[in-house]
Amino acid sequence: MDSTQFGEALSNSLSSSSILILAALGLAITFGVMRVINMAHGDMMMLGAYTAYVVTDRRMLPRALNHLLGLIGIDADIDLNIFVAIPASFLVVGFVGYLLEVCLIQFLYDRPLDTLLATWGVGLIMQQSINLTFGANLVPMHLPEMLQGTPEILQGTAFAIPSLRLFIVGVTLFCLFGVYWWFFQTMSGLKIRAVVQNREMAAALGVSTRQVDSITFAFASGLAGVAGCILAHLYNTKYNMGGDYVVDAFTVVILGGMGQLAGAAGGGAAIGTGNSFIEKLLSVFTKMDSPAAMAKFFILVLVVGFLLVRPSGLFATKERSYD
Amino acid sequence: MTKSAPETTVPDTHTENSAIEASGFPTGRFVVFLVLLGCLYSPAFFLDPFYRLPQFNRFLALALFALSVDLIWGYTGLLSLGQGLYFGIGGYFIAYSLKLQKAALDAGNPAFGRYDWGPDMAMTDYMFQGQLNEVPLLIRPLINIYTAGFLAVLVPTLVATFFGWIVFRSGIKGVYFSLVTQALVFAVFTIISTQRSYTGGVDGQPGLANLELFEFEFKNYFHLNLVIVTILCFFALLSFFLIQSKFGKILTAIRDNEFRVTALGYDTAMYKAFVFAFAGLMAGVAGALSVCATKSAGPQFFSIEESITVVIFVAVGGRGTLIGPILGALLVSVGQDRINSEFTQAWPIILGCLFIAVVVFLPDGIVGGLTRAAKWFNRPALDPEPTPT
Repeated sequence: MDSTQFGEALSNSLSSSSILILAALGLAITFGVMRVINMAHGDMMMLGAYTAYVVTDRRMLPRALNHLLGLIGIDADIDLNIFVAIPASFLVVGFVGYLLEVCLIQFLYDRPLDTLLATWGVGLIMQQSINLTFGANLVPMHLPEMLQGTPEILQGTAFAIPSLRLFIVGVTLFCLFGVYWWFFQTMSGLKIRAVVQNREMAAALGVSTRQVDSITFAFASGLAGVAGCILAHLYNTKYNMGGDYVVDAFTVVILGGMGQLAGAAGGGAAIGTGNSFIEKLLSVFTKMDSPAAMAKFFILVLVVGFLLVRPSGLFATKERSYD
Repeated sequence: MTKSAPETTVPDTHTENSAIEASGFPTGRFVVFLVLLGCLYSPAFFLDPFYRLPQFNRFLALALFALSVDLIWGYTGLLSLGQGLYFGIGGYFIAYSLKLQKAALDAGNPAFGRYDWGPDMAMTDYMFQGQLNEVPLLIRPLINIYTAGFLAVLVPTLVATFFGWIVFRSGIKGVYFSLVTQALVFAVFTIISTQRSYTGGVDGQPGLANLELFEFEFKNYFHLNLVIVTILCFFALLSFFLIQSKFGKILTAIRDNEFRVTALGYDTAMYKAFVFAFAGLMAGVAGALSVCATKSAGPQFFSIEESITVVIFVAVGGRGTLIGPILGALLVSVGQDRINSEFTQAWPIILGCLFIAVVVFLPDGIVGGLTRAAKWFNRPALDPEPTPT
C-alpha cells in the first residue's frame, strides 16, 4: 500500500467516521442516555436528507421563496446551499422528534424493547410517506462552489482530501463540542444528567422531567437530521436509506458503551477508520468482488466478538442497571 | 383483598403463563390447543390449489418461524432481532440442493442423475454468470436433498448453540442481546447479498426444482401442505410440552426475574443457550419449509426487516402464548397479501400503524387481549382455573 492509497483510505475514513459519529451521537443520547431504542433514527436521517433537498434544490424552496418575494414586488434570486440546509434539517427533524416523543415515546419509557417495535413502525410510516411524496428515485444534491474540489494546500500531495470531507469533519467536531458543552457546562445539561441518574429525585427537586425528556429527544433527533443532511451531500439519497445506517449507528453506540457520549466518538472513529482501511487493504491485496461488503462484514464480526469479550463496550461504566 | 388461597392475590402480570402458577397438566387448554392446531389442516381443502395454497404454505412456514421467536422472546424474555440468520441458513441449504437439482435436470446429462455430484456436475445460472469454472467443492454434496436437509437442521442449531453459549456466558442480555443479534445477521446479509457467484447475490435463488423425497415428487402443493402443517403441529406440541415441563417453568422464571433464578442456584446461561439453540433449530426448519413452499430463496431472509416482521407477528398474536404467534403470522401475512394486492403503496403505512397500535394498546397481543377480556367478563366468579385460550 503506497502513500496515495493510504491517503485515499484516510480520506474515506475521515468522512465515514464523521458520518458514523454524527449518526451515533443522536443515538448515544436517545439510546445510551434515555434508554429509548429509536429504530426510526435512520429514517430521521433520511428526513434530514430530504429536508436538505427541499431547501437547496432550485425547483423547491428557493423557487417558492422567489415567487413569494415576487408577489410583494421584490425581484429576488435566492439560492440556498448546505450552510442553510444544515440548520434547517436540524430544526425540521428536531421538530419531528419532538412530536414523536410527545405523541408516542413518552408512554413507553419503562418498556425499552417496545420502543424498538413502535419506532420501527414509525420508521416505516416515514419511509413510505417520503416515497409517496418524492418518488422512489435517487435525489441529487448540488454543492456550493467553495466546497467543490480539493483545498490548494493539499493538491498534488498524497493527502488530497476533498474540501467537502474536511467541512464534514468540521461539522462533526462542532456537534461533538456543542453536545459536550450543553451536557456538561450548562444548567439544562445538568438537569438532563440529573433526570437520567434519578428521575424521581430530579422531579422532587423541581426539574420538569417531561420537558427535559422531550427537549432532549428533539435535540437528538435534530442531530440525526444534521447527519442526514451531510450524508445527502456525500452519497445518494433515497427514501429507504435509513435502514443502511441505523444498524451501523447502533453498533457504534454499543461498541462505545451505553450512556457514554465519548463512546459515540470513539466507537464511530474506530469503526469508520477500520472499515475504510480494511476495505482499502482488501482491494489492494486481493481480487475480491466487493471489498466494501467484506470489510463491513469483518468489522461487524470484530465488533460482535469484541462485545462478547467486553460486553460494556470501549468506554465502560460498571453499572448493573444497564443490563 | 379476598381471603381465598394466596395464589389468587398475587398480581397476575404475565397472564396465565406466570411461573407462579401451580403445576399440573392443563388438560383443558391442551385440548383447545390440539383443536386449533387441527384446524390448520382445513384450509388446504378449499383454497385455490395453484395460487392461494402455495402462499398459505409459506405463511405456515412463517408461523413456525414466529413460534421459534416466541419461545425465546415470549417465554424467556430474549428478544432476538437476528432470528432470520437461522431461518436463512436453513433455507439456503435447501435452496442450494433444489437449485443444483434444477440445473442437473435442465442440463439433461444422462451420465448424471438428479442426485449425483462430482467435478463436472451442472452449474447454476448465477455460477455461470459469476464465471466460475465448476461448482465449488463445498456446495457440491448439497445436491443430495438428504444431506442438505440434515445440514439445514444441524447448522442453524450449531450456530445458535455456539453463539448463544458465548453470548449468555459473557452476560449479554436485554437490549444488548437484541442489538448484537441484529449486528450479526446484518453482517451475514452483507456477505450473502454481494457474493453473487456463490450465493446468487441480491437476486437469491429463484426457480427451484420441486422437492423430491423418497422418490416422491411434491408436484402438488396439497401434499406439501400436509407435510408443512404436520411439522408445524409437531413443533407446536413439542413447545407445549417443553413449556409445561420444569424446564419451561425455569424459562419463564428467567424472563420474570433472572437474578432470583440465579440466586436459587440455576445456571441461567445454560438454560438460555439451550432454548436459543432449540429456537434456532425451529427457525432453520421454518426456512427450509419456506423455500420448499415458494421454490425460491433470497437474501431478504437475512435482512433486518424480515427478523423484525416476525417479531411483530409474535407481538400481534400474543407473546408468551403458543397459539398467538401462529395466529399472528397467519393474520398479518394474509392481511399483507390482501392489502398489497389492492393498495400496494399503503401496506408499509398500515404495517407501521399496526406496530404502534399493538405496542401501545395491546401489549400482550390478540390472544392476551382476548384472555384479559374473558377474565373481565368472568369477574364475579372467583374461578381458579384460567380461561383456556
